[in-house]
Amino acid sequence: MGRREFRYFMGFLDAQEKWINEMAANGWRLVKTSSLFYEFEPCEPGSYEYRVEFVGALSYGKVRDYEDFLSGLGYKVLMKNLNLNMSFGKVRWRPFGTGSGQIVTSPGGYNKEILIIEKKTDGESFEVHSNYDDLIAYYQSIRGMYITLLSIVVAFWALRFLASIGSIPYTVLAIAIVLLLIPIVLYSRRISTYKRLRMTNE
Amino acid sequence: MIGIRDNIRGGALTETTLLVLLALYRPNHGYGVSQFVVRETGGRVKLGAGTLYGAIDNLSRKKWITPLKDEGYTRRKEYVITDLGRQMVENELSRLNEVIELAARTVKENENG
Repeated sequence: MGRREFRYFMGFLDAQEKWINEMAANGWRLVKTSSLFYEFEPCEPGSYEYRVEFVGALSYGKVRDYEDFLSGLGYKVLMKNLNLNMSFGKVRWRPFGTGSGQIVTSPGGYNKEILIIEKKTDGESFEVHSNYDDLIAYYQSIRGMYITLLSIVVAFWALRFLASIGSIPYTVLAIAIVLLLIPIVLYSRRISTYKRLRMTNE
Repeated sequence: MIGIRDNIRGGALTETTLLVLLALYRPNHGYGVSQFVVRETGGRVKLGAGTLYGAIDNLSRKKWITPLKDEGYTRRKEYVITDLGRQMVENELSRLNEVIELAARTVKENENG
């Protein structure tokens, strides 16, 4: 019998990855994702490993291309949403995207900010990013998303404070700012560690 | 297009770039490149899927490699090195030879010191 779980990670990618891997270690293989649910089927405990990959800054075409590439390498790929979008009718604005990745209008582009990559455990290490340049660029793209979201919250605050526009309570805004600052600090630390390593090694 | 960083580094290629270029002296898809790198480095280098994707995308944009014209839709796109890419590998080879020569000479000269 399968199992359906509701989880919301507020964009915390590491927590999501950890949870999915724990499920797999306990004999539950991720088979399907929808906007709020994860569906699992029983499997041999520890026979699958997962990596959660942020692709929200990429255009939909690029995400499809990347997904095909990963499938070609033998990985199974599931898509997941981040639930941090702003929708205006049929148009969805992803403030953290780059270029055409910012505006999502095609239905296919909705809810595709995360790829969950599955690998059958084979004793080999499973790293998606394997050199410093690439690790830095990857974590910068995630941090960029949080910085953009933070600027928006700060803008709401400023509008409220300076022009009395908007009705979001200050406490809610303050909580949002703190919640966004945490990942920004954590990813910044990670980025500077890799930058230091890159000064002498590749 | 050569970015500023290439100049700062005196034209040195990253190991990832060089290995991907070498893997594409024969037409190959992503999986083949990945296997080539593991095999030829004796497992010392194992490119992450995202890193490999980024490298292929970047080299393709620089026209150092090019996708092969494929018949119809296939999930496994094949690439091959271009003349420009070969030139880059040859430049890198002479640069590496200079560095190896300098390193060997320096180490040897100081062995009995």
